[in-house]
Amino acid sequence: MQILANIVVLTSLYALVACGYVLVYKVSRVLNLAHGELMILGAYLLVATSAGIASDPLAAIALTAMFSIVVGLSVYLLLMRKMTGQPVLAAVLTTVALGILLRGAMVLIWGPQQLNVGAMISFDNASIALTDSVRVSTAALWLVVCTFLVYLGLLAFLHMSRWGMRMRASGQNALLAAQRGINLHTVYALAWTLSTFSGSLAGVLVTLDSRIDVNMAVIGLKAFPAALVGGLDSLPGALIGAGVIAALEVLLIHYVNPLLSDVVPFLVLIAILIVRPWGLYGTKEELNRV
Amino acid sequence: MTDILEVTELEVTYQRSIRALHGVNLRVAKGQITALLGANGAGKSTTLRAISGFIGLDNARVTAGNVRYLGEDITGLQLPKTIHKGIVLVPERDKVFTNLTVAENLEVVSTTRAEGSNWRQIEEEIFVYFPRLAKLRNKPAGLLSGGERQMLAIGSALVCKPNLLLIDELSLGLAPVIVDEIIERLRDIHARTDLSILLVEQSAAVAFALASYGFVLENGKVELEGATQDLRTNQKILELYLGTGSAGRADYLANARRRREERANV
Ligand SMILES: Nc1ncnc2c1ncn2[C@@H]1O[C@H](COP(=O)(O)OP(=O)(O)OP(=O)(O)O)[C@@H](O)[C@H]1O
Ligand SMILES: [Mg+2]
Repeated sequence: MQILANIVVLTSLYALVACGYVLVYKVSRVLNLAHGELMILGAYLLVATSAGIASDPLAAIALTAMFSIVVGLSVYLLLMRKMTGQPVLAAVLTTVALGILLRGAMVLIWGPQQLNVGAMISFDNASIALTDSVRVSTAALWLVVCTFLVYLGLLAFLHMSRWGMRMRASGQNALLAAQRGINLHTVYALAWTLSTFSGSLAGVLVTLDSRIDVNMAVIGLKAFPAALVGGLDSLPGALIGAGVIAALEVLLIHYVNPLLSDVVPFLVLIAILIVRPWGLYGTKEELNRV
Repeated sequence: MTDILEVTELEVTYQRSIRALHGVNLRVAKGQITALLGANGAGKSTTLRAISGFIGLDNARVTAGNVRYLGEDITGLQLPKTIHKGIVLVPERDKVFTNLTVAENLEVVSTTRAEGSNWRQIEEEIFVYFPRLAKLRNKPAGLLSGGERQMLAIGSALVCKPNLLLIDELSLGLAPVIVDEIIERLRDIHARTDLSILLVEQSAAVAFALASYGFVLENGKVELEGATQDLRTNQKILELYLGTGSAGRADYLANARRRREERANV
């Protein structure tokens, strides 16, 4: 039972990170390889907020969420906006550069050592007993709840609001979207903002559960196969992909060898790419554009 | 009669080197339907795209000449600004969002209408013109037939509240009955509104059925123009440019079939 709880928690983490890849890819066909770094930046923003502005944990987290929206918007406006209309490869390489840049900047500002963010904002990460034998930490519980809410919110937004509809339309045919009066820059900015927001949220919650250092950006890389397994352009697909990867990872760590943890996602990735290259839920025809 | 659109000596270059238009001159009279005819690659789509505005992705530029709309110089104005001025295009291919339902295709457009407008009512307005779409409301547009797609494309263009509607290839790939139905609908729409239409066609018959004035484009230049009744009776023109002479007719039909098959295979 404890294993099941662990799987759910890890699924939530991967799913919350993966939806950031999906949002940006679905709308603009750009693979954001700086997503892991943006996620960790979210956690460092919490460090900054708690040190300078807010001491209450909830206020600090809320402020961080707001900052992450500013970060996402700036990434689009200052950097990716210039890439609209350029070959997708150029845009993807730009995100690689952004990731390296962010990593360097974060080491410079906050140092290479591990920080205990939970202690800094005096967040009480008590372990909660769900049943007699199953325990999860408070932060992990938050993570599950937040992931659930984020997915619910995103699906409702994409399918029920007019701007969500426009995001789906622009992803399907950007030229036609422009010909129907839709401002592509607004749509892309929205996608980057939502993506960075959800990523930062994941970063904050995962660091509350452990400690933070720059190398945790690798979680972004591990969640990427989850998005790809789902087909990269489907939110439910990303959720299922996250589940598959998390389950395999937890089971293999438990029954085989803990050292496998870092390779599992990529083994799954390769297996899926061989069997169903467009992912479990992705749109088949998108393949030639990847 | 005043002109809603006036294009003079328009030149368009793709990818900085491929010249597609070599000085196109044409006018669209206010409230009238004007046809633009021409063979494959003549530059018809390019002309419409230049009027309705390129986006960065197209890598296309107006290199000379100008476009005047309602007396205002709008040369090189990009999407989506042209939409808000009332110039709306029904493109040749990929004319609906295949992943959205019919209703969503109508709702998704962004216009000068207030965001809070009553969309149910706007949809109903469109369904009056195309009753067939009402039954398909919740069907994904990707599953529609060619004719239904064309109707939806025209419908969603109408939601943008155009003054000038540009239609690229109205009849291409559609069965004659459907073409007749759409022609009927367009006449109806045109009669009820003060819409001006610039219609690109390969079929002279369709163009003549709708338009009152026509231009014939060849190799990026307007070679001929005139009232449709004059064009219709000009046997030489029909043979030369539209292949409706006895020998040309067979040619044209074979061509049209080949094009259709090519598209179906893509
Ligand atoms: N995106 C593009 N890049 C480069 N050249 C282009 C592009 N689009 C069109 N052209 C060229 O411009 C010329 C005019 O093309 P256009 O599509 O305007 O013709 P058309 O009259 O609409 O033809 P059709 O009847 O086949 O639709 C052609 O020679 C074509 O090869
Ligand atoms: Mg064309």
